[in-house]
Amino acid sequence: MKKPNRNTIQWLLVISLSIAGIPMYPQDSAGVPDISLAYYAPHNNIPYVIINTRMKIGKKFSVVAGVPVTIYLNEAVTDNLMAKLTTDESGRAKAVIPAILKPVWDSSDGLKFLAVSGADRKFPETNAELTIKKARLEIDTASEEGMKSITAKLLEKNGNEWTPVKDAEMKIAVKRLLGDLSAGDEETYTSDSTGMAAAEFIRDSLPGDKNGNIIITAKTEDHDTYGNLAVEKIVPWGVAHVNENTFGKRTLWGTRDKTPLWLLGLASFIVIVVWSVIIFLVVQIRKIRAIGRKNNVAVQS
Amino acid sequence: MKNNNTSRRQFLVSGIMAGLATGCSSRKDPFTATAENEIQASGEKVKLLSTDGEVIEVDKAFLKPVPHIPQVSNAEARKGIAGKKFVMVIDLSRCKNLKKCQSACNHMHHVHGGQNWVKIYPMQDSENSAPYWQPATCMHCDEPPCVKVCPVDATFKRQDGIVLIDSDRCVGCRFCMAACPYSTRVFNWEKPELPEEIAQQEYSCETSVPQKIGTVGKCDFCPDMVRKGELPHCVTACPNGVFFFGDMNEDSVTNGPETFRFSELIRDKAGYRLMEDLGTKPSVYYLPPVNRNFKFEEGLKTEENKDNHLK
Amino acid sequence: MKDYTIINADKIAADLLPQKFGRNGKIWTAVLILFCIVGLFAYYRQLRKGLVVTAMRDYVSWGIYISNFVFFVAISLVGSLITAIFRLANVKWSTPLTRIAEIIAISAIVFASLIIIVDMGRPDRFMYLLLYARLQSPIMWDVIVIGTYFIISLLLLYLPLLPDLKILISAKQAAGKGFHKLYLFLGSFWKGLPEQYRISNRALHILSITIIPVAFCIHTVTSWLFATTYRPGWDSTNFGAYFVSGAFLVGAGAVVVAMYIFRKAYKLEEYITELHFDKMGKIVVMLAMLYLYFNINEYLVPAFKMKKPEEVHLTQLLAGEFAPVFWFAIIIGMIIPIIMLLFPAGRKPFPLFIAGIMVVTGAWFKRYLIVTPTLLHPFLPMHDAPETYRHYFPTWEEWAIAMGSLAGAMLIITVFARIFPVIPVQETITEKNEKAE
Repeated sequence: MKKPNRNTIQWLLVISLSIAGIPMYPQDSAGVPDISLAYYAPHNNIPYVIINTRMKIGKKFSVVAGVPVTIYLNEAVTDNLMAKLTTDESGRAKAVIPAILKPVWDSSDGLKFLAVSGADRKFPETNAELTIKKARLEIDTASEEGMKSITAKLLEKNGNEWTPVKDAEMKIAVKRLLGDLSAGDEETYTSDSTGMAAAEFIRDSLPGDKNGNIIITAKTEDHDTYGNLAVEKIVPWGVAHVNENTFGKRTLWGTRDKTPLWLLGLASFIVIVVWSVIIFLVVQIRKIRAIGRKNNVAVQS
Repeated sequence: MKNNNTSRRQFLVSGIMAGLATGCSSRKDPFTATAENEIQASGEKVKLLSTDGEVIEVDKAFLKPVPHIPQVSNAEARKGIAGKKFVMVIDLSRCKNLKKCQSACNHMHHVHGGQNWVKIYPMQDSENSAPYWQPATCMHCDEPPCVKVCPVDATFKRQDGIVLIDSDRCVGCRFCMAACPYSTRVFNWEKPELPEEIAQQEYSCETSVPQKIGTVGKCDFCPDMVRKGELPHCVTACPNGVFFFGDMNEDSVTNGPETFRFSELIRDKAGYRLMEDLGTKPSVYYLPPVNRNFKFEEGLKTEENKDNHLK
Repeated sequence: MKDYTIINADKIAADLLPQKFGRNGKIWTAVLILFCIVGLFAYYRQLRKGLVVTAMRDYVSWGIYISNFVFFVAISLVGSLITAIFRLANVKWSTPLTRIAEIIAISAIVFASLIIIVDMGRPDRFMYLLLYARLQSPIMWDVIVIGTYFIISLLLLYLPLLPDLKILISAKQAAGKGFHKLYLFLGSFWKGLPEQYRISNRALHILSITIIPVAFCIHTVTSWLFATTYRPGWDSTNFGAYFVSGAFLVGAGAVVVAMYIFRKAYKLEEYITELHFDKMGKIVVMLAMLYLYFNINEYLVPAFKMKKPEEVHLTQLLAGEFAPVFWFAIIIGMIIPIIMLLFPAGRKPFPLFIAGIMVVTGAWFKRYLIVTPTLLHPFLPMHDAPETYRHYFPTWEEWAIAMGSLAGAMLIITVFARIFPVIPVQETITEKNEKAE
């Protein structure tokens, strides 16, 4: 008896939820609109916010493009307007902090980003906010007696002071084309009471550029308080990499102007020999013709 | 996954932008250098706040969420990205034939219905060995038999290792299809059914879109995505992280969330390539199906669904 | 030069000069034209809709167009066999057969090229093969060698035709006005002067030497279109010799069939005698044995090892899906003709004609077996492709085009026989005179 009961309750729940859902979004009963904000401050340089407009359908998010979004700093008032944007085809927009908002920026150590999307047929009015604490990342490297180490330091702003942040998770990695290769044994590192996290560099003989330079990076990823911070440093810890391939060499899989010489020579030789014979024969036929023509004239005269 | 993705790209892009904005382009990464050259600064400046609350001027191009990297010309696409050698690692222990890679690929390249550029084979090497699922893309061989036999340079091998097709050149002789031992190439037997705006595009070797009637198509390793600093569609679509993609010259491959050193991964997990004895030297490596995450049988459901769907 | 205007020269000329078609000739031509028209209509459909009208799909990406191509290339080799090899070997009896062999070769090579264009996904880009020619590709070798062989074959047809053109020009009543103009255009300069004969004979000798290696090339390179890939059934170092021997067989078979038909249609019993059939029968039996030898070599050796990729392929051929066609090609195309032709009675005109048809039919299916089953047995299993992609049976469009191309080749031969003498008139006269002395 218990089991069917629970089932019934579940069904009731589902039904009531779906009924409740219907009047809320009459235009598009398919999903729940969602705006997500992410704060970025790479190189401790120019901060910006990335806005993603999506629709949550079931468990999946699908991108909604072309949604107008207004972004404010700290307070949703006209004076604090950061930008009015429309998300691009991948449902994304980027907001920077204009210079006029310097007083607002300076007024506090924290930052609050507010995003409002106007009601739209495909995307109902939605709000989102993101609170960030001003922080900076520092990176340093040391190389002693063959031991290479990297230290990252996270500092947050408290008034006029930059104070260390404890227990913050960060990545210390070697920058690669499509992903970051962790520099040490761990995927992530946690800062100690001095705000520092240290990683021992274990990627010996990793290919770098042609001078052997690699880029070391430290970053926080989607940190609840500090967002996405990142710093980089170039170090000569890699191995000079010389790229080698058969491109541009004469190979069977090369392009038409890269025919292997033996093939080119052999083919040309055969073609020239055979076609010389053909041309010779055509000349012979012309000779036969010339003789015939001459004879013709002789007969007529 | 999604978030991670975005943030990685954002990081890359913002890195480029910061370089552009501050004018201290100290990056030595050959790829980034290429991208940097391709981003066109608008010349217009805007005043922004820095993290220190300073007012600084940057180029307006910085305001775009994704830098506009113009599609490369087909002449450029024939050369490839300098200094790169792209590789893929497919971890067979993680695959359960979800076919997400396949549907993402088909969707993004508008592959003709029923045809697939990525195929997931049910494999069983011998009667008593265990079956496993084997996703197969184009192997992008270093000594590609298909390129050897092309009479008109329609398919070609680039310096970054990618084998592409120029559908504006292909004469449709299908010799490459006969030559490929991996059965990776498909042919546009009829006029591809494409949305109007796609069909009208100029063909790009890097996106392989739009496919054209009477020409050959195949997996292209998505070099257009790589130029944007993003992973190929099959890699990002796989929820199990089966596919790893990267640059062998950087000795790293990634599936998005995880990044490994290529040489270590291949060494520790005994990576191998398909049909090594043929001497084609593929760019796709496989990790053997040991310590599997899924049972083979779990993948059979997808097969049944697919069969029903096709009927 | 001898005086060759002896009494029976006029009779020979009268016997051998082209004649207007009778009722049968007209029906034959009409049937061929009908086949061609149906083929053209099918090709029009293919041009409009694409290769989707064929049964070819991603696995079987080459079908009967390509096997037809191989068949045509094979047949075309006979020109070099009958004309060049026999000429160099000083074989006199073959004289009446040379022109038949040569016109078969030319019509076959023309349709080999056409069928390749039919098989192309983008025939509109045909010029790319010249504009962007890439020498690494065996296809390019084939393009070069087929072009060369075509020109050489034309010369080999044209040079011995010159003395006959003189006879044709003088015998106005034999042809219509249009033909007469054609004869004048082609051969008005031939006066039969000793100097002309001297140059012509020397040129023919050089041609006969040149055409042999080119003929070997044309079919060897065609075999390399397959042998340069890895696939089971194609991956063979033996393919060139295997193809060339098969080509000589089918070519000889085709000549036998043509001999018989021309002999009947034009009443040439006096010129194409039972001796010719007997000799050709011996050649066919020798070539059939040679080809059988290569077949055994080609199938037995891999079957002995049974490497995994070969296993499915071979079992399907020998005992599976393709076994009926396979054994048809072996038994009808080789073994029965060999048995028949080993006996003098089997080398009489009619039995030999039947054997010739068997050889040619067997050879056509043999080419199909070389192309298609291999493609149905790829290294990786056939998977993630629609069910229809895993089989191959040609559609009516493919049959129509393939048959249309065969009819087209025969039409060229027929039209040629209407315009020119199928047996070299002048050479026959000269030889009879030499014999008479």
